[in-house]
Amino acid sequence: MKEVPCNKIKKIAGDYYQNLLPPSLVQRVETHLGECSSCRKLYQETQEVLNLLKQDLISDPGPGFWNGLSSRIMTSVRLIRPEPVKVPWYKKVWEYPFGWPGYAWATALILILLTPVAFYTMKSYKTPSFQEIQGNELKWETGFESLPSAIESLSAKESTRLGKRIVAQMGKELKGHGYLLVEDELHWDVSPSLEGLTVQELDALIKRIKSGKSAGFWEGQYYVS
Amino acid sequence: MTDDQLVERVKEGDSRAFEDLVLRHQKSVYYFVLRILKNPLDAEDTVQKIFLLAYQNIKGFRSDSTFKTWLYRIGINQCNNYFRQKRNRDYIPLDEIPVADTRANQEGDFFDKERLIHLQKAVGRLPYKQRMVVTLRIYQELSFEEIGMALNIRANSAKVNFHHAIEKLKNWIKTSEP
Repeated sequence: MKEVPCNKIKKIAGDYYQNLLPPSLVQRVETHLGECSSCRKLYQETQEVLNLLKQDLISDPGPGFWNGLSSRIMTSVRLIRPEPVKVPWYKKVWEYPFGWPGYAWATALILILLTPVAFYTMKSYKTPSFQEIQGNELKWETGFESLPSAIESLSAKESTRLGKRIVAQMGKELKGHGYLLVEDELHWDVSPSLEGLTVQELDALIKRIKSGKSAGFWEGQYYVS
Repeated sequence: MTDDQLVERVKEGDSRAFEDLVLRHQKSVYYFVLRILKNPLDAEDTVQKIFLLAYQNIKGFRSDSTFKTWLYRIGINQCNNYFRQKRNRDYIPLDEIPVADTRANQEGDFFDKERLIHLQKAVGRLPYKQRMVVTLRIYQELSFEEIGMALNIRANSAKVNFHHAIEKLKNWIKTSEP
């Protein structure tokens, strides 16, 4: 009766032929080969092939050949310089994050991430713009507001638009504009534009903007009234 | 001085150290390439290319494999390129290779010589990868781990390829014998 079945020996026979088995398994295989004639035959045939392969030697071309080969190699080697190591771009970014490619990638990434946020913020803080002057009031998208207080709270852009409306109504281009500091706040000043108007034009404007209505500040900070 | 130490010196620009590496490895690389290409002149050219490539790219060599395994890897790529470029070329038949069965000559054993010729023909019939594995294992005496690294396959796959090749050789030799 065999101690280990043939199929188990066949599984490890390859390693046995190559001397890759631990001593405990070598002992098992050798015991089995002593008992089993068919496995022994297979082992002998394999061993024969391996021995035959090892006999297939190539003749040594001699020292002259080797000297010639090495000198030809070295001659071609001395004609060149070692090439610098080619590192792929993703490794450069990974290994040298603070090199210029790292900064470039980081900047691009930040811009890509922030752009939608910036657009969203701009959209959500968009101030309503006035639409037209109706009597003493400005008509906004959100409702009506009386002119004096409205003018003081106008942005530069809005003031310019209002100035242009006034000019359109007056039939004359108003020129020049700036800011005024009133109670620690900057207000758009349309008074320089009004300076260019004639007395009649100004009277006409004053009639249009009634009851303490202001188009900004005069010199000396008096309301146009 | 070990291969690794010589490689470090080459990286620092010492070409004499590279010459030491050439003298140390040219024989085994040449024999390997000759067994695969089966043409001494082409083998010589290919070995020159292999060492030249090794020198040019030595700064990219990392010690995760031995220098010898790395050389074989370059060698295998060059052999692949050779066959790709000269696919239609007529090769010298296997039995015309100037290989010397030294031992048979010494002993004058005609029967062994005949069997050796059968074996050489059988090895030539093996699939390319199996022939590579047998050559690297039997003649270059590389471990299966090293063969795996050189061929870019797993060590176990190299082992399986080797055993399949031996089984095939065994059967072919058995059937070709009178």
